[in-house]
Amino acid sequence: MSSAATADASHGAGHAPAAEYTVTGVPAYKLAMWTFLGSDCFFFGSLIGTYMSSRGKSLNGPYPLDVFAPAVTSCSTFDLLLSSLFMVLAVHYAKIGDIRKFTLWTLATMAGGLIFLGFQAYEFTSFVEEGLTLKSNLFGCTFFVLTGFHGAHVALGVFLLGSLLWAVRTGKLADNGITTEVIGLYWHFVDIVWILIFTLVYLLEFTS
Amino acid sequence: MSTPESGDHAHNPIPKYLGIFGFLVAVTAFELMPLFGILQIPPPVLLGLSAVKFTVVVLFFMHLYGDKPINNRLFFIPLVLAGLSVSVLMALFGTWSLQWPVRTHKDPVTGARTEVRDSDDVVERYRGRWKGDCNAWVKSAATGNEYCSSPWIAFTNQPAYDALKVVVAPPDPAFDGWDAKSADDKKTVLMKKGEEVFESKCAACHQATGLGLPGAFPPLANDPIVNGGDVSQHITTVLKGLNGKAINGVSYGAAMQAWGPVLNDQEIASVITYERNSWSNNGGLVEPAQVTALR
Repeated sequence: MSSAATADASHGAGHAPAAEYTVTGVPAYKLAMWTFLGSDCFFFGSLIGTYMSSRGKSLNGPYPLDVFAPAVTSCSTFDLLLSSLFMVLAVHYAKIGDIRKFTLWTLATMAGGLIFLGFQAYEFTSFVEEGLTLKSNLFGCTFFVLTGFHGAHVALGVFLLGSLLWAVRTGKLADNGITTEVIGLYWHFVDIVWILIFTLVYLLEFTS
Repeated sequence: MSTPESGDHAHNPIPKYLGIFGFLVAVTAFELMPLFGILQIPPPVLLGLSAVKFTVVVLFFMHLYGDKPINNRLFFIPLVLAGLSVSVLMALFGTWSLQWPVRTHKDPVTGARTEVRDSDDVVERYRGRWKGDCNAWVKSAATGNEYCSSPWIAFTNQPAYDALKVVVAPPDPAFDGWDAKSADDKKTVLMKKGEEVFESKCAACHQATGLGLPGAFPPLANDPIVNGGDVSQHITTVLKGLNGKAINGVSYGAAMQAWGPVLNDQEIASVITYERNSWSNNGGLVEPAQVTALR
């Protein structure tokens, strides 16, 4: 996504990112990503707000505790946390120009994202099987829209990382430091949204 | 290596990343305890821990700590506004209590309603998957979880859901000394009890006239099974319910619920006797023991 910004003025691999800088002193793509993440706060804010304001208002089941599988959710939560660590390592190795380790940790991050999506596909399938669909009740509707859009963000993140790897391996992106950092910001944002969803949607159901 | 927009990472940051990751894992592991019934954590604490994890990731993995003010503003101002929106929405819709609403439990004998609050039974409800509230449990091949097959799919309204939450009534004193009773006495007891059960459980669909509703619920009057036909099939239908079966060549959209877990043998014998001897139907008596045998 930022190949145009980083490819045109390279100081050589492993050195300062050769991105276009805005007048703020922040690279254009990084500023754009923070702006996007700010707007994504509103996006997820509206979905979480809808979920939370509809909470406990379903007239018929399945209710959350009828379908939630704590073991599955715990695994996917740790998986996403782990992928955040992998991402931060990938960014580090991209910045110091260690392409081999950058590739390794980027692949690990993608694997973490794909495993998370696998857990989500499994979870959604079992929920539908147990009678919870988008239209079965208010809980089903708000739950699937919220977690579904989060899953879509994870899928986009995996796609961005894949594109990044492809661009680096084919030499289309000479200096990947800033691009990896920007994609890393997106990845961590998806992780923190899950931190919120995990608490608000899942954990709160198990308190009394 | 130093960049204009971020500090110089002259030292190796990996131990710091691993430390932060260890912290996040520890907090998450602590949060997970209520899911497995190990510990109760109050909601405010959970929200606090979530906020701590969120902040740590933002500051140290997304490097907003020490980053340029513009990046901080671009993120934190929308974040705070979004958080306020969520809070205001929750306040407007009255969901700050973080509780599912009170549901009611209808006593089948007295008709009295008692409140069922999640906070009272939430742990048991999770562990027992509401086993007592459902009449047909099906095991999911995918998850191994048991789930209630009928109420969510066959019924989509609160009264039907409440109806499934009944407990089975104790034996009726009118049936005391049953084996010593004459056939006429038995019929009187069965018909009286049967009428009560029919009106409270069956008439909503099959109608007090026994004619059902064309296209929706099948009639019982003059039905070959009900009117002197196979008693065991009649009993089985009441016990196990019926779904997707054509009756006398007509398909009905609505499923019949299984009454076996809800009604006791006396009630089922009574209602079947009532159905077989009402609306010009002419069948015999059904003994509670016949129902017991077919359960």
